[in-house]
Amino acid sequence: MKKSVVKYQYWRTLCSFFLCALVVLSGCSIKLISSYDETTDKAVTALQRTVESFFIAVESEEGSPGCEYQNHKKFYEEAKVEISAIEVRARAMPKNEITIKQIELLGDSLNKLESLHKISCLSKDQIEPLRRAFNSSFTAILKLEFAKKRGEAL
Amino acid sequence: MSLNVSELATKMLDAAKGVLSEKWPEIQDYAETETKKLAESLVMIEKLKLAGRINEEQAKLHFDIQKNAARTVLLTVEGLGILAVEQALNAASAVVKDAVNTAVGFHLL
Repeated sequence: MKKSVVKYQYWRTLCSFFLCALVVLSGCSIKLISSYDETTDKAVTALQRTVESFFIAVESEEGSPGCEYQNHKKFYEEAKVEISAIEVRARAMPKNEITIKQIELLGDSLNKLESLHKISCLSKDQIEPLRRAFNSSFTAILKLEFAKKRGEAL
Repeated sequence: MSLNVSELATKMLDAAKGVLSEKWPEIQDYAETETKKLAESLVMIEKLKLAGRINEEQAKLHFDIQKNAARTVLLTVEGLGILAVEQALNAASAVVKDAVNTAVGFHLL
């Protein structure tokens, strides 16, 4: 009997605490993750276009001297600058750790793509999985960014 | 009208559960589609290696890029989950707001 009274009091206290906390919090909406950023959205979309243009160019150059790394050095330099700019902006936003990690991974993938290209020209059958991986990354970053708009469909 | 703690807690829980059950299937569908795509890519790389079209160093770089893509997808799944929890908490807190405002008879919250 005594045990059930203690249990009831514990439960009541817990509910009251939870209720009080929510009453305090209900004055403003709770935000666990950063807000949507249009600049990040546009920059990531533009970068996807740049990477896709690169893949199309390299595919069309297969077997010709144009496919060599030296002829595409500018692409890597520009893409690195873009990723750095997106990362700096992402770091300036509060509660944006997930997007920061995603941009870091994208930068690492670009470095690895560059290493692959330095070894040899990228063949069409190598480009296919690379294109899929980069597009999956871009889609993932943008999907989260759009979801941050809140109240809209995922 | 006075506030009933257990009734209010039930309503809050229902509001939160409603949001989570609505969001989860969408997140699950996305995760399933993306992991399938990544698995297909891994098979493509393995075939390239076995056919001798790429060497070990190239295969490793390809796998690392796929691994990065997989981690990026999983981070989005994590983020969508956090956003769903956030919406669930806000839905529960809206229930409190409505109940308190109704109980006191004016817009307190």
